[in-house]
Amino acid sequence: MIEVQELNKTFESKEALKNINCLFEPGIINMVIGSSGSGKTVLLKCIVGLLVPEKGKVLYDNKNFIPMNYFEKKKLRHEIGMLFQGSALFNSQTVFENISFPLVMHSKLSKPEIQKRVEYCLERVNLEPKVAKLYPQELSGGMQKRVGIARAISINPKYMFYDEPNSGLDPKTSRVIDALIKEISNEMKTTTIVNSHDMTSVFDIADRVYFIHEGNLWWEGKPKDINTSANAELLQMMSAAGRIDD
Amino acid sequence: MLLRDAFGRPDNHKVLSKRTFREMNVIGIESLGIVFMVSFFMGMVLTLEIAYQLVSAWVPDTAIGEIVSDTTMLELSPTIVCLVLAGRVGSNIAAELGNMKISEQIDAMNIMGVNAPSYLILPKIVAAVIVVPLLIIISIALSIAGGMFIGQVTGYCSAFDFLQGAQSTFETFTLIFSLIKAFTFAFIISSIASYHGFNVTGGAIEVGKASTKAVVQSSVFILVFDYLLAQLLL
Repeated sequence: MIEVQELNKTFESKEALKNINCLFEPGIINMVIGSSGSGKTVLLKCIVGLLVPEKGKVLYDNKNFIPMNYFEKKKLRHEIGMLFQGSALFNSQTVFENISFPLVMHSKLSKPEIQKRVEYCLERVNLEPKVAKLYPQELSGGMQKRVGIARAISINPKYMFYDEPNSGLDPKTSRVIDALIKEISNEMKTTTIVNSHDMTSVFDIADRVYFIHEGNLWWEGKPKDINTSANAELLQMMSAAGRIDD
Repeated sequence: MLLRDAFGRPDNHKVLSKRTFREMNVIGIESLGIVFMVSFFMGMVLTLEIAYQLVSAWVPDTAIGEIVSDTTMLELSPTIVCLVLAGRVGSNIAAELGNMKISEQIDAMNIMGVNAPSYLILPKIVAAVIVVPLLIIISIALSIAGGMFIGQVTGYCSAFDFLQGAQSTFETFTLIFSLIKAFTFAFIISSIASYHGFNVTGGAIEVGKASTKAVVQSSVFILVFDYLLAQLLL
């Protein structure tokens, strides 16, 4: 479980996050939605510690992440998996080296054990074992995302983050990635947070939705309740995506 | 602060040594061609210019070898070769790290709890301070060989006289001074380039700018430290 309390983040004079409070429960898919520049990526980066908020708390199972020292944060990060918007695969390393990277750096697994784990992760994201020898630049966008997911799950994370998992993908591949996120979340019972502006994903895989607009949390609830919500901005966004009638 | 993190405790010593060897290959072996070219031609040009000014009945034939070898060791090999390396290696390091930064690869390492400066920067600095002095020794040898070759071909001085001149003025301290310079310049090149690469924000244009900044600043620092070391040690 991840809880965000009164989170504030400012860039120079612009307030990117204004007093955000939300609770992300484990075992379900928590989806943060909002238009570009709404603050959802800033929120995700504050939660994982890539940005330091001016005020507020980020609680991982009731432990505040922000005041933790380097070693405490490092220990917690061994339980975090993240898929970045552009996949963020290491270009100079093969797919095998990318997926095994966190295991090589932190685990005491032997080479055969690492090999086995990488093979499992590749199979889990529906990629053939021969892909392991390729470099990221030899893969399609969808395959890169899958390798990114395989790298994230290689350490058996307790918390999974996905930043715009469908960006740059065609609709068909987007649905494949969505299905994969759903399967992994169900199997691993992780606390999953997905950042997206893909409204199809909201209705396909989200269990709980958080709508961020201009740095504020404007609405939260179940996807089925969106159509009946009184939030004009959210309805406008849904309408623009063709999910509800004007 | 970046250097403090880079020299912090590495996550995995085995990985660190593996990456250091890889960087030694990139910085050292892959620079051999340019070092060979620069050094050999530098020795040839230096010999011709000294011969143009000094050859007369009053100057012994060994003088060219004496001056070429001393000038090469004291100044030309460490400084010129390191300025060339600032361009080749410095821009490479800044561009590599800059690209990793803008494509969120460094963020990905941080999320995994990996000390990114230690994983990425430390092997480059360690490799540079080991390999660059070796490149400078090779450069000195090649420059002297270039001078000896052109002296023999043009008839200004025989290879025997050239070598005798070079040997007669050789002092171990001159070589040590040259290696101290190489060590210092290697640290300057790798750390400045890493700093600029690691702090890129934006896109491809900023990566290019960081690369240019790394080369310009490294070159300026090399010249300033060249003067300071000469003032302090000679």
